Amino acid sequence: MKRILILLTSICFYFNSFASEPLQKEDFSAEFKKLNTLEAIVNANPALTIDSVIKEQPQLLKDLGINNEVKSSIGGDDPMKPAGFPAFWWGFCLGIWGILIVYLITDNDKAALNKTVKGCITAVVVYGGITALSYLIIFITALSSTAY
Amino acid sequence: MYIIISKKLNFRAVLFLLFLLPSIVFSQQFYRFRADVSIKDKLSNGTYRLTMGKIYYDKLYKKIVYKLIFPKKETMVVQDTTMFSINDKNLVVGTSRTFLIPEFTAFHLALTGQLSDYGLKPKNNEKSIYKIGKVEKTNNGVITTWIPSEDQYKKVFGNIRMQTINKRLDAMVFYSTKGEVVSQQYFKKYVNVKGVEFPTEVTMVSISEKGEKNIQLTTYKNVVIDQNNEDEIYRYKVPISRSAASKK
Repeated sequence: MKRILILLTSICFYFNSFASEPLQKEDFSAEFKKLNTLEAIVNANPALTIDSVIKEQPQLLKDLGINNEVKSSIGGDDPMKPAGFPAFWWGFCLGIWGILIVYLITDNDKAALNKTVKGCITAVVVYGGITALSYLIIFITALSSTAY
Repeated sequence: MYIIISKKLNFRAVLFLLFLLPSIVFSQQFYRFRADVSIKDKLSNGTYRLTMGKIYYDKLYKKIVYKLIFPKKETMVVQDTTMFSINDKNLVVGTSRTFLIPEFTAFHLALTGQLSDYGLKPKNNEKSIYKIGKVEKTNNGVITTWIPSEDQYKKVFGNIRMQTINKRLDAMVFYSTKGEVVSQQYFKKYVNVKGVEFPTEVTMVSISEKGEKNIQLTTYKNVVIDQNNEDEIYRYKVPISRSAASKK
């Protein structure tokens, strides 16, 4: 009985380890079923643009979450997330240096820089507020201790 | 007399075959790649993206040129670390930094015969970031684990596991320094065009620190190697003029 249990456990372990082996490709065909329909439409008429497809197949694009502001996936970098980190937090964490880094990474992308500056200002306000509050607490504590 | 001349000729022919032919065969260099491309993305937020067009690459100019037809008609040129978006009026509508490095694209690696090891094998006298850590033979092929070659690299780069089947790159898994899977790539449906082996189906799964998955399926059709026309596209000259929108 013990042997059978060990055998069953090892078989389960083998299949689990096989299924989670990242070198073995999962079947992603179901993931792209709806996109295949869109691809076939474009292939049939290469002159189609996103606007014309939205007019003709609004439901399909709605299901896919595609609108007329969608960008191509070439390059892949989101300018609002320079080096994969949100622009706001670059400014919040690194201040002026964050603004400089975002400027260089995004090649002066105005929207991303705007977010970084906002992050920097927020950090100044938060830091200033905390400092002012701590001074206020120290002042009140000192005042109350002198009163006694 | 004829026999002597013929013998001399044969000897020369043998010499030619012995010394010259291998160098001709092995030094055959491919330099251009063109294909119809379709990139399908499923993002972790549940939305999709479709990008379709043609891709042009010349390893001498080191420019990747995408002539897109969908989602809109535009040309995208990757040059050094900058990506230019050019509209149908030949105006630059956007520039951005990109991590797409021409030397590490499947087109460049296929043209230079380095796709089977993804260019990780060090070239002559070059210092490599990775070295082979382990090689295993399995029923599915050969699995090679590449590890950072020096301790200082281990702080930044994780291991890479690579599976090859019949000397063709089949799958790659990139790990973080903590050993977590950050990206999986699968290279399927190979074609052989003029001696260049190229996978026409590339799937990439990117996994964020939060475990969110982005899946990208790239399919190539009508692969052309060493095309000798459309030269102006391969050497695409990025226009100096910019659209009003990009100047803002």
